Amino acid sequence: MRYRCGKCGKEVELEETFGIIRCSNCGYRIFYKERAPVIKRVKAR
Amino acid sequence: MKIEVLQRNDLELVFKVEGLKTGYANALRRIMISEVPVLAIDEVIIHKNSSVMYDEILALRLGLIPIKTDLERFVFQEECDCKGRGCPLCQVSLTLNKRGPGVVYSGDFISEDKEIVPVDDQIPIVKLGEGQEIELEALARLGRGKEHAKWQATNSCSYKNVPLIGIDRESCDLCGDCVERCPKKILEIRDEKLIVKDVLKCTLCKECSEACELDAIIPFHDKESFIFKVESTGSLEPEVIVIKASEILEEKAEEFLRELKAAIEGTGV
Repeated sequence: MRYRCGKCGKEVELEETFGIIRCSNCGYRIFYKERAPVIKRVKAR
Repeated sequence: MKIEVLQRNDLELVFKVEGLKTGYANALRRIMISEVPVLAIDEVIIHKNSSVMYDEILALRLGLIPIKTDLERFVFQEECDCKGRGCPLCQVSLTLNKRGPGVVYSGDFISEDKEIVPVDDQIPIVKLGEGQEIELEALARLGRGKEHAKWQATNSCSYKNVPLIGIDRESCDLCGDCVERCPKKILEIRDEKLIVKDVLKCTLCKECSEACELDAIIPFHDKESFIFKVESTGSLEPEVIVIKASEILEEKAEEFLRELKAAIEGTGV
């Protein structure tokens, strides 16, 4: 799963870091989950 | 039955009908509100939505946008030959692509059919911030107001009895109290005579008869004459709504007659 770093905005694959949640680019520890790239059908009511 | 159009513009039709029973007038009103079909966005396919608004709320907002409708060209999806799969006869696709910053308006929709567009271009949908993006496809279908209010063809749709004002000229002493008390200001004293300027504006509030100490004035209504006021959302012309409602009422009556005949024959009476 890909996450976006809260500080530098780089997309990071968190599984690679073996449980330590830390940005490989800037060392920041808060991440945002990106919206899944699936097409969503919703009823307009 | 006598019909007279009193007022007419793009969105509103006011007409007077004489010789009609209340039940019939009410049936017509209820059909205009809940059974005249119009197009509205029914399903939204969201490709991208990074706005602050949830997909479901965004879809609900899109559904409430009135869309210009041509009833001759469209059929209900359930009754369509495509069996509900969606074809140009029963469905219109509108796409919306917008990147922030800025407000997304109903005018940003690109329709596959150039006649089927939102009624107004200036209806705000969502405000996008820097870098936020919306990419979606909306499917508009025919529906009826009784299923969801987004398919209502009318905004305000009402009738009232034709007001009449009885003036006893012999006992009236022209004191002018009723002229002052009338909230619609439709009374006037002209040439030593109390006259009514525009009787159709009367709301039958009875303020004038309360003001009159001599009981010389009394408003009442004609039980078999009605003034209809039909206000369209813009998706259909107001006269089309009335005509379609009458056709639906006719169909209902015919269906009733057919079923009744079948039932009587079936029981062997």
